Amino acid sequence: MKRILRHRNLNKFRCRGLGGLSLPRICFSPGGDREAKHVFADRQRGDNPYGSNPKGVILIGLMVIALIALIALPLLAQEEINPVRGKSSEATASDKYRGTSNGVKVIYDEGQAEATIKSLTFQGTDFVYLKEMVKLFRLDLKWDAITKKVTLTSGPDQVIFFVGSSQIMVNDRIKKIIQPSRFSNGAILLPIEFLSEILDGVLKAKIDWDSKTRILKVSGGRLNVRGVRHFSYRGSTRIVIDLLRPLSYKARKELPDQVIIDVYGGECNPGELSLEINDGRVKNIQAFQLPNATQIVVRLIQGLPYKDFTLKNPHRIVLDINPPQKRLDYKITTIVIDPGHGGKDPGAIGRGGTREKDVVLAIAKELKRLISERLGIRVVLTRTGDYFVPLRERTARANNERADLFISIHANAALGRGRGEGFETYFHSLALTKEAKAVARRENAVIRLEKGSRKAMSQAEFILWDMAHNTYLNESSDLAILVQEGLDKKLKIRNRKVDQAHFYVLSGADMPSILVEVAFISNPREENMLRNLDFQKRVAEGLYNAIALYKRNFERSMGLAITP
Amino acid sequence: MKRKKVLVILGVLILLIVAILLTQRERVFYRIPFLAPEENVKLARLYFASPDADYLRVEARRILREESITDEAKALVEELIKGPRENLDPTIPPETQLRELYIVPEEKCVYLDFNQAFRTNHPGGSAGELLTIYSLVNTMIDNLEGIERVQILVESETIETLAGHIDITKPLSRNAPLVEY
Repeated sequence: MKRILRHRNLNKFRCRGLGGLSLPRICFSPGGDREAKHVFADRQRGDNPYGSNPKGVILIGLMVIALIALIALPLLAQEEINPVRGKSSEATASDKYRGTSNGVKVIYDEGQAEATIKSLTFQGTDFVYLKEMVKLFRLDLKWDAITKKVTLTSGPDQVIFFVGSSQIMVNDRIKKIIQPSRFSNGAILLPIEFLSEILDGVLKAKIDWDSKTRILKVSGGRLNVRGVRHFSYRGSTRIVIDLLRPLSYKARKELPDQVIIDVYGGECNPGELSLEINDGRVKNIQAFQLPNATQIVVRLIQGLPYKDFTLKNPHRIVLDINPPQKRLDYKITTIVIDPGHGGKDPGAIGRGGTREKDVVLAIAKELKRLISERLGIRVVLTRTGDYFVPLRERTARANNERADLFISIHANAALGRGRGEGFETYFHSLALTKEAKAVARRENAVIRLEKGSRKAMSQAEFILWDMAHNTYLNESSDLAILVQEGLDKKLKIRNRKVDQAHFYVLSGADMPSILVEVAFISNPREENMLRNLDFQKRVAEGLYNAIALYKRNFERSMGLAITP
Repeated sequence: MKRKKVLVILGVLILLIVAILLTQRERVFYRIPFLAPEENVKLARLYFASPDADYLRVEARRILREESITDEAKALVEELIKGPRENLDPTIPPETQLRELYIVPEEKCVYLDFNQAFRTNHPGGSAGELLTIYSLVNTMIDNLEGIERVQILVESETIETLAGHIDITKPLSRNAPLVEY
């Protein structure tokens, strides 16, 4: 790249430098104004004023050069390539790689529109000009010459890539491409294969390239139903349908377990909009393209109520499944215990070969026995043997079981000399970045403006909604403190701390949830303890005591709240 | 005649000087600020684990100053992989390799792309994972101007977790509570 840049600059510089030859008239200013007039006059008379003092002339000449160099070089250093100012194909003859220029026919939407664009072939790969693609597909282009970063946007979608890099970022996801983009005479060229990634990301269009006929078929580039997202909250699920522009729609419940939304005039890519959710309320979402509408079918697990409304900036249709209402159960009736890792994921492994997955399963089974025997309530294990369960499925299971508590049991580890020791309990913290908080706020705030009306929610309604959207932060921290105290009474190892972190497994839980690290398996002394059945039993006892205490406190506080 | 000669000589001289300046351009514009040796070195704040795996602690280390922020970020990651010199514990498995690193200034974000060994050779554990992730995040944010977030990737992909605990699907900000001063 640097080489091409320098090459371009050289051309420009040479133009300026040679242009400087005609400058002596302007540049003799060091000699003063009077001398200037004198020289000019002498010249007109046909005499040779230079002949009299060649040394002085050379000196002046050198000064001129120095001046030009001083002015021109800093300018050169700031010189940037403008990607939009691409050069035509004849200029490419001077390119070292000698691309052959060709035309490409672009056909949209089964022949409804056509266009011809230029293309270049370098070493068997077909490239097209970025500037032409941007114009053709009406994308917004941002170019940063220093980092060589290209940002293409269309509505809410964005593709970022660096010229020459084989990685691109499509809507915050990194993708790898075979052939990177490149420069040719200052214009940015994209391989045709690369186009499909870009257009897929920002336009939701499908590309079909035939290298023999040189025809590029683009279908569905102007989809107005852009995507479906979902948010699983405690007790409710929000489904958001992103639109390119406002469209009228109708939501209806045909069967008790499905809600159908017809978006009139909607055009979509059904495959992109279909989602598996399985969060305990919504099974999945399927999209269908009808002749003049997009139909979105939301399948529910139970016959849950729903609410629908629209939002702006960006335009979207929102469907809330089981919007929050007064909670009726004031008792803890189901507890989900999650033994960490399992199957292909052994978890941490001690120096003596002890595997985290085995130890935590033994503790979880013992804890289940204690709770069901002594409290008589339902206990569900996310795994009962040595098999792999994805993290998301663990909390989805707890949500489906309508569990009141979620307790994940792990054994700790760290790199280094294995001096880490003790037990610690974590509860989930909310997203850490400002941006994530802003998104959460945006999605939450809009509930105040139901169905586009300006009527604010009542205070009580809002508090209930707000509660539903806050993960059980207070309850989780109460439980974590009790667990830490419970273990402290039973174990003779170090009491580390109660802490907060953004655990993947806890983020999907719709109930108070904690993750307990019972001891350091990477510490040989504690590894031996973890293998010991008596130690495992004491851990389970400590956890049981904490849960029993939490249950008693919780139910008592709820009882006080309803019967004054 | 004489005038012509002088002009020709002048022209040749100009071309010569321009040519010299152009070939030396990199030196003229990039090397001059780095002539002084003490300016070639920068004091970096590297975060490593305390021996009891409780906290992150800073080790100050002199590293070579790099020309670009990307190279500087790469150098910092390499220093973290090398591990601590003081009485601290490492946070990154030594077999780890940084495959690629890039910076998106508008997002104030640095993307770190590691090989599979980063994941497979990690011992796991919530404490271990937190220390690994935030030794990278804090080191990047503390030493690189304009960087506020760090996204960790493995083999060009975002991953849910390193070893089953901490969510690293999104860029992370600095974690102060984990640092012991």
